Amino acid sequence: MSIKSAGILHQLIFMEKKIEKKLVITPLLDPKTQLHEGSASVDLRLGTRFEVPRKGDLTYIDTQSRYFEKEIANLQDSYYKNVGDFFVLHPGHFVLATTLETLYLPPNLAGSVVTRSSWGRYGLIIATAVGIHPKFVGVLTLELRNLAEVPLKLYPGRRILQVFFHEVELTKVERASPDVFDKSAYLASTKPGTGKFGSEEAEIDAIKKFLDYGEYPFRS
Amino acid sequence: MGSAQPRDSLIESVIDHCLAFADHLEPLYFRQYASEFPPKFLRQLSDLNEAILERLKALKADIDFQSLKHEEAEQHILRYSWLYSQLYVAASIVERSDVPHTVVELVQPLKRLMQLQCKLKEFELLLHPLPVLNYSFYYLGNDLSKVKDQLSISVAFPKQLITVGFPGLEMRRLLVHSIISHELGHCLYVERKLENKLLKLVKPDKQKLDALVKKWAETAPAGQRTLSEYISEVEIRSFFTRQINYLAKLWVKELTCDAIGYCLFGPAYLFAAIDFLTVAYAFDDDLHTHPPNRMRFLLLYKMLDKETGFLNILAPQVKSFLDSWRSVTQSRTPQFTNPVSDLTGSAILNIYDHIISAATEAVGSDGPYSASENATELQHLVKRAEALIPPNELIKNGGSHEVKFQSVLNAGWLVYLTGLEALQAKYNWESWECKTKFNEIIARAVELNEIQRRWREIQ
Repeated sequence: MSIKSAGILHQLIFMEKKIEKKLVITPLLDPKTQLHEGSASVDLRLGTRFEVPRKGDLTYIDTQSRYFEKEIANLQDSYYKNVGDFFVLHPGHFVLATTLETLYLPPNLAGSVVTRSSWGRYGLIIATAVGIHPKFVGVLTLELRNLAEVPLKLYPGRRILQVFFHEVELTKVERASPDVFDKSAYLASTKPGTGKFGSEEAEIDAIKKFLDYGEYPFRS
Repeated sequence: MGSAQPRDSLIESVIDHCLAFADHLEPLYFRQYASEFPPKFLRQLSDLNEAILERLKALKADIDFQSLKHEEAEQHILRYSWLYSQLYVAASIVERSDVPHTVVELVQPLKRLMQLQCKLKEFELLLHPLPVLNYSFYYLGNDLSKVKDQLSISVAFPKQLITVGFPGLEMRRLLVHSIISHELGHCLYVERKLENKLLKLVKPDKQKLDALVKKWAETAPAGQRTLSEYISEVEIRSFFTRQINYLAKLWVKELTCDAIGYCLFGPAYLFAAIDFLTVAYAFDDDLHTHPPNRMRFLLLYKMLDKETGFLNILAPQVKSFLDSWRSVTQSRTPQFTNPVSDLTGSAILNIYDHIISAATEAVGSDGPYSASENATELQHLVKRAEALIPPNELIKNGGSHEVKFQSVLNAGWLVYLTGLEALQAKYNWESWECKTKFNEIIARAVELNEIQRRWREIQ
């Protein structure tokens, strides 16, 4: 597995002409800082939108329920904080946010997301969904949690995470039709989104039937 | 209150308005807003309220006031109480311009456009949802300045504070909000005093007017007297002239705001107008407030047709879309439902060149947004938008380059009118889902475009 250096990433972002082959990270407000020389990653910034579960109205999350996604999506409070403003993350709180940047990955690249260690040392955890697939386009949803014991002020626009990009080996078929990668449920996302299990309906139905033995002979 | 004199009771009632208003304002400070202006404005409203409260309290002990007759005292107090309707409107607009209810992404770019390009240094905007399918404009700053002068209270409201309403249920349809450029046009129409320039150019056809006056003066239903037996022809003429002037005042204003809308946003305004206006009114409806759509689109197509550089880059689907609406617009000359509309509308059709040049001057020294001059930029942005990447910047020559905010909207429209079917098919999205996602991508592009511009400014 080869990881792309900051220099290569710079080339892919700013020199590549064909949109299909480009890596897009927009906006890259300060390329020198975000793609600093000698590193093998790009720093991304905290975005302007936050989603906070409305606990008072939420009894529980049942991911086996057919309608839960819509229910959960409607039981979130949305916050918008301009760059320059701040959001306070209290100890133990769980909040969805996004990167300021929208990313577009060409078919031969994938990415891994990690919290910048400086933030981690103050108790901030930003991501559990750490992989970005080839041809993903959209903002990255961040699952923010403050593990420390004091509230943490979060400023949109601050560099908060790092992404490492890896080369993806493709089969001939995948190279010929890169659209096979356009399957993400989170494609073209622009704001923090709750989890989606739409493509897992068949599996969920199978699990629901698991204990339904009906008139199975050995019961009688 | 039971034993109070009537004038004390008057004062007490208005004091109650003051205190209720103060209570209403307080929680509004804790809301989130799209710019730093609403909290500042709330403080100004609060200062005004405090000043009024102090005055009312002082009146109770004011010997001069106590010696006024009841009717005089009543007039004095009513000046304050009437003011509260206006202040309540202002507060309720602020209340509805908070983050969950407004198109957050548009506020700063529109403010920048009006302050920097149009040189309205005191321009401020409150963008709020309406419970109707309409856009609206209200020059709040003007009215508040009058109030301030009338009461001689020194609260410094921004003079060019406007409020723009948009259809609340369609908040996330960012592209159609290009209509807002027409509403900004209302502000420029007032500020640049365009009414004085343009109305005097409207010259109704003298022969048609003579014939109309004569017809009214001399024609009467069988067995009844003619109108000329009651009033003179001069009075009949004067009646029609007043009607024509009244209608011309409103129609010229609306058409000039259309032209300013086009100058500010370019073809994006025309695209939004086709999307919104054609289903709001029938093509030949002449309302007393607005000219028929046919007149409006004749003007906008006249402006579009000067943009050859832009027309040359259009995809066949967009060309054919524009051509089809052009042929509807030009299929016949505007028809009017009554002779006054006919005389007014026909006279206004003759001053379109003047309207366009007044609008062009009104948008400031940088001139109007030209889709032709930005054609290459638009082609690049369209490619990004087609790949679902926000079209907020150009990447060329090894770096990122700023694009005009209007180019983001225009590129968005160009894809919206051509590419969505392809996107739907590619990603297996429903039509509405695809439109919503695309509008959100354009909203994000507008936001990022502003963040990048601001970032460069502060470096």
